[in-house]
Amino acid sequence: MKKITIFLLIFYMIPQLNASVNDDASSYYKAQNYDKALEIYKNINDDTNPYILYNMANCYYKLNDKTNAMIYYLKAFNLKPRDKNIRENLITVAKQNGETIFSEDIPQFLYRIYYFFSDLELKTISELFFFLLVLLIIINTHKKDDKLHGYIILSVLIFGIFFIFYIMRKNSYLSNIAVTIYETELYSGPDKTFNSLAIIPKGKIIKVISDDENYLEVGVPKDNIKGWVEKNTIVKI
Amino acid sequence: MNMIGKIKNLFLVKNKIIFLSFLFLLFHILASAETMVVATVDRTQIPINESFNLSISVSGDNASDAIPDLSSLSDFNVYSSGKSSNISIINGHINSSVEFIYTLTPRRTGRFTIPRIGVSVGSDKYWTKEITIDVTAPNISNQQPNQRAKNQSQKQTNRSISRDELIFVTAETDKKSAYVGEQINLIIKFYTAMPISSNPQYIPPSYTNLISDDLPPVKTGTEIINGIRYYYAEIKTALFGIMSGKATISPATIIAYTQEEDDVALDPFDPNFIQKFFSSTARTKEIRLQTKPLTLDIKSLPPPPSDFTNAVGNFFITAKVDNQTVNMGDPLNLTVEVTGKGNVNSINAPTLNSPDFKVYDILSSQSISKNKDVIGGTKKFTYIITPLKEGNITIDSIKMTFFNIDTKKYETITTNPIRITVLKAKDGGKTYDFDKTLPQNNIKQKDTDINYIYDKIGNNFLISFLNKLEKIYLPFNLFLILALIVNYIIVIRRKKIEDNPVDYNYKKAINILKESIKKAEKEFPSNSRTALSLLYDSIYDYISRKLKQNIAHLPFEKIANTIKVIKPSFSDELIKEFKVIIERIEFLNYTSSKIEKNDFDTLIKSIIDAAEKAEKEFLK
Repeated sequence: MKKITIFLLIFYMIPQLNASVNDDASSYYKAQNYDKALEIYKNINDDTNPYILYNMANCYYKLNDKTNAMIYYLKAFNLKPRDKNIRENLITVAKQNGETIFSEDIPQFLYRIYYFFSDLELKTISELFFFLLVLLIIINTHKKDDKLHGYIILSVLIFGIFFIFYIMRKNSYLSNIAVTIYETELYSGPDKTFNSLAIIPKGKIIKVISDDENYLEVGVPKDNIKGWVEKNTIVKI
Repeated sequence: MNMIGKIKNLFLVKNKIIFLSFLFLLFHILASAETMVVATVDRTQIPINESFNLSISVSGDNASDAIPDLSSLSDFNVYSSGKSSNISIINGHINSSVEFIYTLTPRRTGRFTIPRIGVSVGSDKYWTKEITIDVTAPNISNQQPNQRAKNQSQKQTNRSISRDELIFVTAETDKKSAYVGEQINLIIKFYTAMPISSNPQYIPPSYTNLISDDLPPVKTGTEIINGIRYYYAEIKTALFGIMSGKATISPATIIAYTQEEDDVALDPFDPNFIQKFFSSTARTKEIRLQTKPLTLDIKSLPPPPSDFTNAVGNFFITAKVDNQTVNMGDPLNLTVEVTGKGNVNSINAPTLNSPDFKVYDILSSQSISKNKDVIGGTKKFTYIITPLKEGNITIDSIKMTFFNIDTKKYETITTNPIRITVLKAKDGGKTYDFDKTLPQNNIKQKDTDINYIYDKIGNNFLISFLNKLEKIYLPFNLFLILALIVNYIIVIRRKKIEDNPVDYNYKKAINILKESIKKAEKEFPSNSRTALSLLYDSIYDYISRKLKQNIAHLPFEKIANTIKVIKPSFSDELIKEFKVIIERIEFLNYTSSKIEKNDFDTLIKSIIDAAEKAEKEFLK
């Protein structure tokens, strides 16, 4: 009981601590001292909080670092894609970097539906219904009840939908991506001695295909090119 | 439903799909027909001493607001070469397109990319595609210098030449004073007799009381001054005075990269003189050259007449309508074109004084030309008008007054009158409210910015919790899969029992017997009679299972016979052993008041021994 209380207290306290630190950062941001605000957000060091990531992205944007701004908006979007502010700022900064996140040819409400849940939420919902399904199957084995069949079918359907959704998202445009932080040379193999295929400009979204020790195999689907880039020239989202 | 009905239904469904696909396609076409930005070049391979044109075309509803940003073109010197805009009005809908033309001069040889150029249209930004340009070595036919220049040069070779003589820049204007709006040409000339590793970078001057317009292309060539043969690049800019008074031109800067050695003057009569200017060297030195500041006198125009349109130059005017016959109330486009040399940009729309027409709006577009260093072009005014009465009516001549720069006098030019036939209104006439297209009280957006930060950080408990939970998903899934496998095995076993319970009982007889013995052991010594009873029943139950028939109600002799019938090879001694056990249980049950622990244990042991022997017998 004691352990549970301490655990809950820590869980309650961490957001409270972050909130007070955020107040300081907000004051600096309000005073347009973006460097100082950014420093405070960096010190919070919480990669799982979309709001802190969003605020950091705003600081980068105000400091005219559009590449890092896009990186942090993308990180925040991955955690909370349905947040209006994150979504709108991401679209703005991506556009300024010459990237299109959401095609204007497709009705935007479809994107809103598609990106309502985060990858983690989709995974958790799939897990939950998989557990429920297994539980119902086991109960049904030992206790024959016609009502259970309905619940099993429902669980299969919900699990199936969310699982397919999760798989689709894992293969979507914004999954498994990286952003170039420098003008990056694209080689035909994982070393500088291979042919240089192209120069990818700074702030470009690229798809990560596979990983090597110091190089990443990447693709730029829009330009239909594929190759290897040095790991230290990109930031994985 | 019959077959025909089914086919009809299929067709209906198919039609719906086609209709929806068509709607989607239409939506796509409409969406993509908004603003389009395209960049093109007239050449993709050029020698370093030449220039090429980059054209950026913007089309769409708000194309006239387009502003290209060419700041990212670091590998080229950029000069504006002109801008032409076009406006079309179809069924009251206004479409515009603008073309920006730039002359680009490469700075170095090699392969360069014109990066994606951002074009701001209102609050949106659009991007062009990248274009690759190959810049090659200079392409100049070798010219033999004339003998006189050669002799002159030989005279000069004896004196020492300072660096300032080998590389310098000059600036001059073609006139020192001009009227407001009159063109003045600024000529900046860069001379060098030193080899340079790239084309020089030009930083234009700033101006006061003047507006400027580039006059590309940059002219290059060779010139002999005081016996020294120079490579030169000439940049011209057209300037127009804004107000009477003094106008100034600040120094222009030229940045060139030369070889580090001092004594690098080239032989002016070397046949490869030009090519040697662009020989790339590893050790280069940056040289910054500046022109002298210049002052100009801008004179005011004589007192202008009331219909002066700000035009200074020399122009002519034409007018036409898009339709000679219209219905009453229908709009009509009257296009007035002013063409000539001069400040086309600044010309205001001439006034239309026709009492039979109402002017709703005036739209303007222009096409600027820069022929032979003279700025000119055409300014087109489109008057959206409607007739106010039926019959044959006339659009009166439109007058335009400009200041003729050649005669230094005001001149008035006029269009020809245009006759229009106005028919009766169809269906009571249409009403075009052009004012609606330009609402007066709308919010005027000044700028855009990102959304503000989160002052209060929202509750992140769920995301943190899910992040922690994610770590156990893999073992948890393995556990669930294992549970499913175990469950499956149970189902299979249960099915087997259900399908053949007798065989199952036969195989599991000894296990069931042992379980019954355990139960009996638990009852002993507190309920010794019950324990004995359990042992007694377990033996009969065991034999029943092995014989695959219920023998519990039979006397032991009949049981022995049944065993022999089913299994003739079954040991008689073992049958006797079972009989003795049963009799022993009966004896203990009916005679002893208290059953000793030893007796009970011996009994259990003998039952298990007998059962194990029986198993072997049944296997025979």
